[in-house]
Formats: sequence, structure tokens, C-alpha cells
Amino acid sequence: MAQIALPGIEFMVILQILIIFVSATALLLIDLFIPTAQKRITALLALAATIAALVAGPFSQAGTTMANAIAFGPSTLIINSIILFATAISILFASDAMHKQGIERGETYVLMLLATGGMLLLAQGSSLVTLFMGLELLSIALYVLTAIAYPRIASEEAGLKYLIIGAFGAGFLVFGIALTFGATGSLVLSEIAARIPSSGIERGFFFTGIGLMLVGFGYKVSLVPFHMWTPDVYQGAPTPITAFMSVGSKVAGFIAIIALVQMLGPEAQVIAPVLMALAVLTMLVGSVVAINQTSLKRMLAYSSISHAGFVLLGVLGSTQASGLRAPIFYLAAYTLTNLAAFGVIMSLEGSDERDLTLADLRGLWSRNPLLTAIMGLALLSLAGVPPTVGFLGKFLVVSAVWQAGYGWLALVAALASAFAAFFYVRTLLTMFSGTSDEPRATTSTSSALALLIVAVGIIAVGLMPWSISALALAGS
Amino acid sequence: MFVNQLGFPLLSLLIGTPLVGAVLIGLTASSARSLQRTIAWLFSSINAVLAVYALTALQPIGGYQFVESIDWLADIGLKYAVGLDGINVWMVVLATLLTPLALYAARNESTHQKSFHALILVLSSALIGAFVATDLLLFYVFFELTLVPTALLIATQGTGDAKAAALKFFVYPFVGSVFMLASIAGLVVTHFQQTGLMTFDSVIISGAVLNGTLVMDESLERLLFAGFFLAFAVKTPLWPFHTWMPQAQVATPSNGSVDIAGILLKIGAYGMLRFALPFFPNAAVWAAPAIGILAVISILYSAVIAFGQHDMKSLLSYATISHLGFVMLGIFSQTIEGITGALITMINSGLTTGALFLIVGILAAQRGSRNREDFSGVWLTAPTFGTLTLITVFASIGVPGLNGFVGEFLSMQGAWLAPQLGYGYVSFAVIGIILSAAYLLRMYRGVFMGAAPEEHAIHEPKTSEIAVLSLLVIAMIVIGLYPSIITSVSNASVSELVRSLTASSR
Repeated sequence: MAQIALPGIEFMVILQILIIFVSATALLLIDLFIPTAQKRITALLALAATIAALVAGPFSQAGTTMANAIAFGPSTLIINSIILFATAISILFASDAMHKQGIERGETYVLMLLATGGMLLLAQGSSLVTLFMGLELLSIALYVLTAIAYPRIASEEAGLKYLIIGAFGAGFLVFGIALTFGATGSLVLSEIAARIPSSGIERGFFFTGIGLMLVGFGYKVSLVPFHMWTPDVYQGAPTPITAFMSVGSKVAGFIAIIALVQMLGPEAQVIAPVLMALAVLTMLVGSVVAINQTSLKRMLAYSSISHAGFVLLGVLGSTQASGLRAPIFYLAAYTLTNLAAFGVIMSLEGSDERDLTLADLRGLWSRNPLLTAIMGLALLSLAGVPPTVGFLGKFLVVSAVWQAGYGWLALVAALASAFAAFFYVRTLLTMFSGTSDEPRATTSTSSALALLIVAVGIIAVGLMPWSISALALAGS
Repeated sequence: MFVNQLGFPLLSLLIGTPLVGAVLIGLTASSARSLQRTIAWLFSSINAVLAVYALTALQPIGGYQFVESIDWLADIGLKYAVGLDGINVWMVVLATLLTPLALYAARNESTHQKSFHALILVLSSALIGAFVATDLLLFYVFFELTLVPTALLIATQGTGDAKAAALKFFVYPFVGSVFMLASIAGLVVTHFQQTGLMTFDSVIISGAVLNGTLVMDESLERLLFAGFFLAFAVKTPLWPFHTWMPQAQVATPSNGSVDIAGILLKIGAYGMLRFALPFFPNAAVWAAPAIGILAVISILYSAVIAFGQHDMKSLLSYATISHLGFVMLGIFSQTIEGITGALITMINSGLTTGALFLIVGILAAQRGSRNREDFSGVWLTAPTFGTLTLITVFASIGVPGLNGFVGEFLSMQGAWLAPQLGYGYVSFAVIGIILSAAYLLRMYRGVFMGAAPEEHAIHEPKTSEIAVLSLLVIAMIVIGLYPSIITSVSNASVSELVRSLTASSR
């Protein structure tokens, strides 16, 4: 009888993934023995696992394993670090807000770890199957997390909406993978790159497959026109979860898109017009529609759509010499900034599920100067005002896209940031004008710590960009 | 790191001193009002002394001096690079001298004294940074940074619909400047593609334009120029990009407006002179007639609007727009006379319009109104104040012997001599001077002449305010009689600039 040869596993390559999955499984069991009132312990354990995985990054080994399905390299290191950092901050947020609102459950943290594992799989995946697994794991965990505020209607509705639309997106992805496999006979990215059909019906199948996969990932990172779910889900989900998914799934989804574009190599020119059209639509629709929003979470949802367009500019730029620095730096900047913005909103929310509006920020300066300052920084960074990290991110993607020979896209980007500036600055000034009779907002230690970390990051990375650009550069 | 000839980082000290002051003020208790005043005044005075020192130490030979240059993001060629020459030294001196004067004259009208002082110091730091930056992206950073403290000043302590004014104040210039950011990216990338050097250094880039190692094709040059032009035209402001300005200025607390009118607006004109012209000399010549027309419309249109204003502050902001029309005319003449005239007009506008805003602030604080029809016969009850105001008004109109005349005359002379402009522009611009005499003298007659009212008589202002006004008036007279005080320092730099413009335009 023929032996089934199992491929060898190099554990040091998948060290971070391993830590996250093992601790998620263990935590699921441990959580059973933690009393309901003490779920903060689960949060702390999950945080410890995340930090352990973060620390394990530099000790991981570069290389590929599991029959080329998973890879690790210098650029993976920084992406994984961004994802794990976002998870750690989100766990700190969640342990505070979920408790305050009376919707704390141990499973929250387990699911967050599982979603993180999915994101890491996406970042490290070097085969289409791994990418699909990562995306599905991430999505399923997020469907549940979105709806975890049971019995709140808004949360249930958001979860269901996310599930249906997410399943739709996954369908595109699977069809795309199937077509690509059919055209090239391989699922491993490096092998596909070598076998891109140069003519005939296979070439048509291949690029149709690539296009369908783009649609699948496009849903995840909310590119227009696949963005419809975003505002509803961001608004309905508990705020710490919104913070988590707004950064984590976007970073992971974009890494998958970048992997596809890198795989195409020079052939990326074929899909460049599609990417350009998506980028233009995403930037403009996101920033124009955001102007009309009064709910802060919906506004930030449209803002995150618009930022996805900017990242896509960086991806387009990465097809040329400037490499991955621009999109990776932009994603890092976006992660820091969005975490800060959602963190402040979460701190301002009461114990009920009422959605905060622009008017609730009025006179915040007189109530809570620290939260105002952090939110102010976040808004300036989102708008791309120096010396925040958002400014450099924006400049890097704009110059990358110009370097790639798409100067006109830089002008569209300028136009989109012009629209976006309006609602960011309006929000900023609302906090500083007028006074408010509401009681002083209080912030718990854990979210205050998390907020301080991201606020310092916004300024420090903005002033000292080499701190992460050296890492990003190493990956190009 | 490159160390300058002084052996210490003079320019970084100029940028950093107000910031340190602002941080210290931030650490004081809200109730320690006199401490906050002292800190603000102390740090801005130190800065003024440093600026005057820089002025005296500067050699009148052209080129940047006191240069500091440190890598910021080395792998894309980004640097913290600052330098001073005969042109921006005047902007720095103006900015640093006006700040303590404005703070000294500040009345206790504000309930937000702590944030007022801290924000003014941050603003002053950002302004100085924008004037001394020689790295293009560093300039952009400071250029944008000036928006934040000013918008917060307007939003927290402005009058009327302060939030809307602050929003306009921030968003309009910001929209202009994001297009400049795209242009900066385009310029730097084009330079990189042609020379293989990734840099934001304005000296290197304009040098490459001059010696032909950087050649942009016509449409690209015009496109990139348009981005810079848009940012600076909104900031200046040039008609029709001016609509944000009067509303913002009216809503500003009067103390802050000294700074805003005096200096902030000059960054637009300064950027045009320092960056847009040397980078895109051909596009600048190509666009000069159109920009000249906008400048003339600016001069005439705002003068006419100013004539119809009852609110004196609003009147003054239109008067400022009118002055800046002359600055633009001078700059785009691209002649030594025109650019020198533009430089002097910028300084004048800082001094005279700054003084006029201060005067309106004093009047408004005593009477509780800025409507010019609420006043009459101030001269009778406050003769010293009246005299100082009269001299300032004359300076603003451009009466010979005072500073305004020198600047406007030189700007128009430059425009007349310039082949791309010519006497047609000047003959219209000169009408603006007549109109400015009309609206300013009418305001003066109504407010200071006539019979003193029974009630609400205006008293002489505080000694501190008289002292500040006197200093400004002395400066106006000195510049009017000896304009070579300015030109002796600026000449070498201006003629170097004009030489390079003439040489590099094909």
C-alpha cells in the first residue's frame, strides 16, 4: 500500500500562528472555569497570549512550510506585528467597554484570538487555500463578535447582515480560486506566478479568477461598490469590536490583495485599470458620503472606506519600484489612528446602546480635555494633517502612485482628502466649541492605557517614521 | 548633521522657544493667569531678541545661512533642513516682533487665557518654522500646522458663529494645500526619475531647474505649478479664493487677529515667491498675465467691498486682501523692483494692518461695538490715540514718507517693467490706492472727527497699548524714510532669485 507522504512542518515559521491558535483553544476551556463576574481574567489571558505572539515575531524563522502553503518573511513580520498590536489594543478596549455595558462574555476574547489567527493566516498564506481558510476563519469569528451583544437588535441585525454579505463575498472568492486553479493547475502563489497562461481561453479563465478573488477580498476591505455592509455593521457592532474589525480585517484583507498583485508581477498591468477604477470610486464615495453622517460610527465607517481607497493607491504604486513601503506604512498609520478614534467613542458611550452622534461631542473639551486631545489627534491624522502619522502615510501613497506613472490618481486623492477634511475638521471643532452640562466622562485604566499608547504612536511615528519604515522597507 | 557657522542651532531655537513656552503654560493651573501671561511674554520676547540677533548676524550675500540639516526619513531623502536668507529673515523678524507686542497689548477680554497664550505661542512656532524651512515637505508640515492652533483659537474664543468661521478657516486653505501635496509628490518624483536623487531640498530642486538637469514638459510643469498656486492663492488670499477670510477674521478674538492679519497671510505670498516661482519659472511666466488680472481684481474688488463695510474689522480684512493684490502683482512681475516691493508690502501690511486691528480692538473693547457708525469725535477725548491712528491710516493708504508708499510704488514699478505684465495692470491697480484712501479716511473721519458723544466717550487707551502702537508707528516712519534698512539685507537674495528666474525660463 502506498504511503501517504505528509509534508514536513517547520514550527518556527508558524510560531506566531501557533501561539494564537493553541492559546485560543486552551482559553476556550479555561474560560469555562472562570466565574461570570471575573471575565476580566479571560481578557488578561488573551492579552498575554497576544503579547507572547507579538514578542515571538523576531524569533520566527523566515521560510516556507506545509508544502509552500505558509510563508514567513521580513514584510510578514511587520504585518503580523500590526495585526497583533491591534488585537492587544482591542482586547484592552473590550475588557473595559463590554463590562461597562453588561455584555461581557468570555467567548469574546476567544473569538478575537481566533479572528486574529485568521488574519495571521492571511498575512502568511502563500497558497490560495491558506488565504481562503484565513479569510473564512476571520469572517466567521467576526460574524459572531458582531452579534455578541445579544439581545440588542442592532447588534443581531448587523451580525446577520455581515454574515449574508460575507458569505456572498466568500462565494466569489471560491469561484475565483477554482478558475485560477483550473487555468494554472496550482494553488501555490509562487507556482501560479510561473504558470500564468500567456494566451488562449486559459488566460481568460485566469484573469476572470483573479477578478473574482479581488471581489471576494474587496468585500472584506470594503472597496466601493462592495462596501454596502460597512456602515451598518460598524454601527451595530459593539464599539470595541468595530475598532477591532475596522483595522484587523482591513490590514489582513489588503495583505491578501497585495499578495495577489505581487504574484501577478508584470502581468499586474492587466488588472491595473480595474484597481484604478476601484480606488477612485472608493476614495470619492467614502469621503463624500461621510459628510452627510451624523452618527460618529457611521462617519468613521465611511471614512474607513475612503482610506481603503488610499491603501489601494499604495498597492497600485507597489507594482513599481517603490515597493511595499507605502501601503504597509499607510496600514500601520490607519491602524493607530482608527484605534484611537474608536477608542475615544467607546469611552464616551454610556452603559446603554445609544449610538453617539456629532452633537454628543459638543463641548467635550470642557468635560474631558484628555479624550478631546486624543480624538483631535486621531481626526487630524485621519485627515492627513502633519505632523501626525496619517500625513506621512498619505504622502507616501501619493508619491508611490505618482512614481508608478499614475499622476492623475494623485490628483483624485487630493480631491478626496479635500472632501474628507471637511467632516474631520467639523468633528474636531465641534469638540472645542460650546460647553456642555453633561457630567465629566470617565475612562477606566485599561482603555486609558490603550488610548495613550495609540496617541503617542500617532505623534511618535509621525515624527520618527524611520521607527517602522525601516521594517517596512526591509520587506520590499 | 551639518553645523552652521554660529556653532549653535539658532533657527531651531527660534522654532523651539515658543513651543517650550506653550508646554510650560499647559502645565500651569488655569487660575494662574499672571504666570501664564509672564511665561508667554517672556518666551516670545526671547524669540524676538533671537530674531534680531539673526538679522544682525546675517551676511548680506545671498544664499541660505545658519543652515541646519538633519536626516528625517533618510531612505526617501526627507530632511529637517532650515536656513535663513535676506528674504525670509524679514518674515521671521516680523513674526517674532509682533507676537510679544500683541500679547503685551492683549486685554483681559478672554476667559480662556491659558489656551489663548499657549495657542498663540504654538502658532508663532509653526509660522517661524514655515518661513525658515528649506526642505519642501518640512515647509508643508509647518504650513499646515499653522491651521490647527488658529482654528482652535477661533473655535474656542471667537465671537458670533465661531465654529462655522473656524471650519471655513481650516478647510478652505487645507483644500488648496492638499493639491500642493500632490504637486510636491509629482515634483519630487519627476526630479528622482531624471536625476536619480530622491530629495525634498528646495535648493537642490531649484538648482536642477536652473541648470537644466530637471526638465519638465510644458503640461506637467503647468499642472504642478497649478497645485502650488492653488494652495498659496487660497492662503494669500487672492480673489476669487478669498471668501473664507473676512468671516474668519471677524470671528477672531481681536488679539489673535493681530497675528493672523500680520503674518499668517504672508505665508501664501512667501510660498509663491520662495517655491512656486523658482520651481516652475516657465509656468509662472505663462500664468503671470492671468494671475496679474486676478491680483488687480483683488485690489479693486476688495477695496469696493471694504467701502461698504460697517464693521471695522471686516473693513480691515478686505483692506488686507487689497494690499495682498499688490504683493502678487509685484511677485509675478519677476523683477528685482517688483519682488522687493512685494517684500516691503508684506512687511508693511503686517505692521500697519496689525496696528489697525489693534486699534479696532481697543475701540471695540471700550464701546462694545465694532460698527464705525457707533463712534464719533474720538480725537477730542483721546488725542494721542487719534494721532497714532492717523499716521497708521496714512501709512496704509500709501502716503509718501511712510512705509506703504515704498512698497506699493516698487510693486507697481516692477509690474510696469515686466514684459509679461505692463502698464495696463498698473493703471488699474493705482485706482485701488485711491479707493483705499476713500474707505480708510471715511472711517477715520467718522470715528475720530466730529463732535464727541454725550455718553460712551472713548478714553485714551492704557499706556501699554499706546507704547505698542508707538513702536509700530516708529517702524512705519523708519521704513518710509529709509527703506534701505530692508533692501540692504534683502537685495543680494532678491537679485539672486531674479537672476535664476530669468536664466531658467526658456
